[in-house]
Amino acid sequence: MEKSILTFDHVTGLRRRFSPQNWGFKNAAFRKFVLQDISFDLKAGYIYGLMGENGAGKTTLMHYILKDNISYEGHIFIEGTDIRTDHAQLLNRVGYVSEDRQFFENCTAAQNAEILGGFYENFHQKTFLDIMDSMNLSADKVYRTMSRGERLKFQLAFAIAHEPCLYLLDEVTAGMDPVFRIDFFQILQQIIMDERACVLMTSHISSEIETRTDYVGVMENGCLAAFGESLDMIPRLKNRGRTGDERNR
Amino acid sequence: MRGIDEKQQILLKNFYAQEKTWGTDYYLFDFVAGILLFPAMILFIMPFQIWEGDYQVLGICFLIELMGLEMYVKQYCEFRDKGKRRSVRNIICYVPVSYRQFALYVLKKLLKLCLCLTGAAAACQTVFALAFLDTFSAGNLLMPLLGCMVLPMLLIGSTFLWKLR
Repeated sequence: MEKSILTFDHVTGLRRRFSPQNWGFKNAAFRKFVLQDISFDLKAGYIYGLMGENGAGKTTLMHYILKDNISYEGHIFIEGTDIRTDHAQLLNRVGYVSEDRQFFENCTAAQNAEILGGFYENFHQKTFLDIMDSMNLSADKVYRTMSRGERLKFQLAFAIAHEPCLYLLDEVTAGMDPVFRIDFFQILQQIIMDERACVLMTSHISSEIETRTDYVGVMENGCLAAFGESLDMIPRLKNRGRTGDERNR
Repeated sequence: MRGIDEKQQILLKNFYAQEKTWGTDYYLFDFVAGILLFPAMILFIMPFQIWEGDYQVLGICFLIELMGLEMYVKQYCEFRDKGKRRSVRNIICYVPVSYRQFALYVLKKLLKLCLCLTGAAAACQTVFALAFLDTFSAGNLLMPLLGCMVLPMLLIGSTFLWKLR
């Protein structure tokens, strides 16, 4: 039986009553965005896509997993354990790759990995260096001098090196060069091959989601509007114009 | 202290041990904090009896002390990167260390410094009051306690937690 990696069980965000963002004299435009009754179950050995327009809640969903100061009803489980029981410990099992993630700009990739890898129980510097080699990226390159694509490669290598069971990839393929795009999905296939991990990635590129992911979810205004197999879902969504990328053109 | 996760505290200690690598202002905050705390403490170690009625000078000295403590706390919260101030918390927000443990780590550092300042000020005030003024009052202990411990912890600690939320 396939192992469940990530489960959202009727997760609904809560606005904190006394948060300055919700004071009466500030109108709804300033209110914090919350998720609405999200439920799904991700199994090991699959790549899941998450689509939706800008502002639909894709990144917010990931932040509900990654941050410990967000209030919500319902439960989020990683490998069967509620993340609220020991959030910091469970972050050992989550690898996050995003353009918004910050590192030390004046340090090299190897230094960043050594400094921040120390927080993870299963981080292996040698594995990180091997993966950087396989991606043709020097670990002695200063983070500030890396291009967007190189930074995402570094983050992916860093994530793989601490052996998570859940990979969260936030818009990583946007702007990726075509050569590395092929290698990137091969790396993802290798990650899930032993069925100990799964990948959840957000993207606006429907063709990529259709061909490269196994399942896709569609976010709309904080709700999970649809969830199903990519090959079935994407053609139907395109007809309805709900993939987001057609509207954004 | 209740609620402290020793494992995460050790991770943070190891992280800050490498500050020389990632913090280009490694000595700056310590140096500025020292420059501000030194004159404040010179005034705080003088017996309370000298200050009675002259609260303006006492207030100024307290403000200088607060600025020094603020600089001391900043070395754990900020670092300089490409000429800009960046938050340490933004770097480590996605690693297996909770917001609560990070806050406790920094507040413990602040508490330790405040305890040292309070102890030094109270001891010096007591000795100088007895040796030079032939007198001693509760103010010789209360003034360091309030000025070096209670009020700074409340003010600096709450400001730090508010910025961190």
